Amino acid sequence: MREFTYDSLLEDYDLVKQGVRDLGDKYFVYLTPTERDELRADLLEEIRKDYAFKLLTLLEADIREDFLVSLRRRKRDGVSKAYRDLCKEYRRKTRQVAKQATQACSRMSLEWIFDKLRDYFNGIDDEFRRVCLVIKGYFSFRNWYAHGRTRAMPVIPDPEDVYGAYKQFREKVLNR
Amino acid sequence: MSKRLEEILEQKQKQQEKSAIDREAVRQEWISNCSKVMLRVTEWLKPLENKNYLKIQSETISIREEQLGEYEAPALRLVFVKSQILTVRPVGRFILGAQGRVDMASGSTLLVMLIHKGNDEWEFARREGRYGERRTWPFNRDTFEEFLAEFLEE
Repeated sequence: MREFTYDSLLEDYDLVKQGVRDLGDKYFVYLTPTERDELRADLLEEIRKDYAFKLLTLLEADIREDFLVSLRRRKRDGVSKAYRDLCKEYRRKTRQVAKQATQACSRMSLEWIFDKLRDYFNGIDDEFRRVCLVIKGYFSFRNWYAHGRTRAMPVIPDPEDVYGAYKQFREKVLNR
Repeated sequence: MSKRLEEILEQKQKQQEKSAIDREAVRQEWISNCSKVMLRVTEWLKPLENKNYLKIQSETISIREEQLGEYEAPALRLVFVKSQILTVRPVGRFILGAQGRVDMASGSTLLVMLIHKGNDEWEFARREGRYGERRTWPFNRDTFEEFLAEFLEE
């Protein structure tokens, strides 16, 4: 099966980008040099969006899995406790108290997860609180991209920035 | 001042002057080619204009190309009955794979390109896909009329 990791995606991104940059003029027959450059820039921009999106889908899956594992295993660390509090609050609000936590909270909004993490890291790690806010913003792009690009275009992160945010998230949350 | 340095500077100056002359010659030749193609289209359509089926409006447009600077070139605006408008506008002399391009468009929709092959020879060209080869066919009175009929019937 094709490898699908943060590192492989970033390597693929570099390769595809280089491929487009190296495309010969035969692919741009009858265009002016300016039109060729614009078309190439459009392509590169689309590739940037694609890879930022792919990385964010991976990050979303990791965050959701970690969230549910934290609920299921009743881990004792601070983040897991914060997650359980969030789920408790969510079950109350959505009147799902009778349901199992992992079932009731399986579709927890990522925004709520990031807000909870920001609350938790308040006074503990303000730099990481900022990272959580940044990643939360990245997901506006992810949702815009996945749902037909109908609303105004949000800020599109560079895949390298998504990767950098993931590394910090891995260190502080996923690998805790 | 050394003689060698002066020779280099003199040579550079001559090259620059020659390049400016060449640029001007290429620009004039291109504008002349555009004028010829506009004239050809005008002549083909004149009998129909005389019958009030359309109006041929000559325009001058401004083009900027890195190799030629800014210049003015002739263009046409063909206004048909029911206000269907077709513009015939030069795009540039420096085109990848050709020696110039004129676009035929309706509003912002490019319908077909005219590609200059050199020696006053033009071809219709259309994109089959976003990249790669284009489909080309001769540009003459018959093919132009065919294209116009297609445009007007749409």
